[in-house]
Amino acid sequence: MIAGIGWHNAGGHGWLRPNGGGESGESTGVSAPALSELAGGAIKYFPRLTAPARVAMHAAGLALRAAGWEHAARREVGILCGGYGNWISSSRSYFSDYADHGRAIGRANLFIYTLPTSIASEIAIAMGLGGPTLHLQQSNVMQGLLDEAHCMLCAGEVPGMLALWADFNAAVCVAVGAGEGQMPFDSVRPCTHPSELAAEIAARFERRVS
Amino acid sequence: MKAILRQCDVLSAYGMGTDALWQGLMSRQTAIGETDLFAGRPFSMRLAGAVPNLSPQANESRVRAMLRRLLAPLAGRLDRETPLLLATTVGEIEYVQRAVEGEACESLAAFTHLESFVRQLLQLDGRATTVSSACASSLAAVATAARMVRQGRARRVLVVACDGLSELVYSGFAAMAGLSERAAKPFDRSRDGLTLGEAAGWALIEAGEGLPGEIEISGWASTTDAVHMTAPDREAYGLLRAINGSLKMAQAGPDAVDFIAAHGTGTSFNDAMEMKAFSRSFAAPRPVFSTKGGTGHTLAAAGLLQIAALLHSMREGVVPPTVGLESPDDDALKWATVAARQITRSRTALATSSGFGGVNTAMVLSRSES
Repeated sequence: MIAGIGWHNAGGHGWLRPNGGGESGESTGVSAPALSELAGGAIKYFPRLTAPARVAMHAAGLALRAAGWEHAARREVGILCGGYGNWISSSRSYFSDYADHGRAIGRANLFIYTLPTSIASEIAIAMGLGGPTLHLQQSNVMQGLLDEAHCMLCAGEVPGMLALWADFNAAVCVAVGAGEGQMPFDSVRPCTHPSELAAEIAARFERRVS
Repeated sequence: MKAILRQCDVLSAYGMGTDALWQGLMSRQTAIGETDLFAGRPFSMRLAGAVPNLSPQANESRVRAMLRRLLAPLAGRLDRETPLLLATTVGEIEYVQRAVEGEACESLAAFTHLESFVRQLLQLDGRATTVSSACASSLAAVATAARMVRQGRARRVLVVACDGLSELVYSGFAAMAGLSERAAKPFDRSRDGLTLGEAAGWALIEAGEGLPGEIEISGWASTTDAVHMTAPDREAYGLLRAINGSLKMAQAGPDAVDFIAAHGTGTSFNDAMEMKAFSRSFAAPRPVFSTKGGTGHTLAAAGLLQIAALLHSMREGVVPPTVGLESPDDDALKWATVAARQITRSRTALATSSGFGGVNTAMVLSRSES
């Protein structure tokens, strides 16, 4: 069941709690204080975070806030992530830099973003998530992430999971928990892009508050 | 319903097949050698665990060349609807390298292309998913397959794991000063880094009753250190939690574990972290081995190599030596050994993998008895 949703796209950002409550705001750059507030502490490595990593971390932090999972409760929570592009783009950045400098030596701070799980790992460090960190690539990304998160909960492997769908400038993160009074998965209908899903969730939020 | 590890096969620097891997490890000879893959590049070392006689076709990635060789005997033998879990860290990363050099091929690096290639090779048309969890990818994929089978979502699942040698990854590890200038020496007191390798493997996980002799994937757990992007938690809490979680799921106490197929990369921090987790988990030393001094660190495929060796150990009652190990570090004494060891009980084994981002997966495999 969905315990909370956070999103960030060109149209804005916000969080939504299934049983009521939420906030939305305009789209601005993600600041260090905003992330630190959501993380419950300073983001030590904020300057090295790429723009997509900041957007994804913002959505994840908002989902954790929506779910009400405080820092102490996150130790066993994991993160499943999906989405094309970010790691390939980061790999290209790393290799371009390495090639442009005569193939003598690469930059480690760029290399660490060449994995599909790199951004999720940064989120885990910042938000204190000690559960599994996995990237799953499949068709119908968000539904697949939600289904697998649900199965991990059912197997008793984790008490909660974040399902994060992120692209270059948009991210949607759904906190999946086992509590009662939460939204069923089909309330997040299949979309073709995280920005589309974020817009739909934002519109649902607007309808609720109007 | 139990998740049974029905069959597996691997292609590594030791050559084709699990027998080649086992014999290579038992010989205590490393398959790591000088590679000409990065000729002309200013790396200070040229060692790698390259798959021998691998000849990619024109514009073909090394991963595809490995999979073509590995999977040929399996083609047409599986039900078409068998779900596929593909485990890889960077897949066909060569396409990104070529894109930087001017070819319009970057989109080919997307995992969906590699999934399609595997499905075509094996004539599969079921669901395909790529599972990536850094160097714990293949154990994480096997765990995902076991979960699917246990929950009745699939009758059988095929896991295919692969990562090839590439300049991008090689240069990255070199930039982090993570590579040794000699073949890796896991758990050795003089270890000073890892050696990269390449490999591919597959495992078929099926629903079963656990008949005598069958190998059950009886427990698993994945965790994240949430401490550092590249270095493991020096207190080993993440791996410790994964080991405890896997034993709990397997309904087994630490005493049940007969031996351990460790990650054992040969880096100072990883091996120390693992030994700390093992010594905190088990009251007395267990036989531990690592494959990486023989094959190199094969990234996403590493876990399947561990499982392949582990199955031989269970069958033969012998734990292989850790190739490259000459003088075990203090914390590894009585755990990792230079020579192979006969064991009197080989019913339950633990496999562990860890990787960038602080990921850890531990898995318990148990042989059913009558």
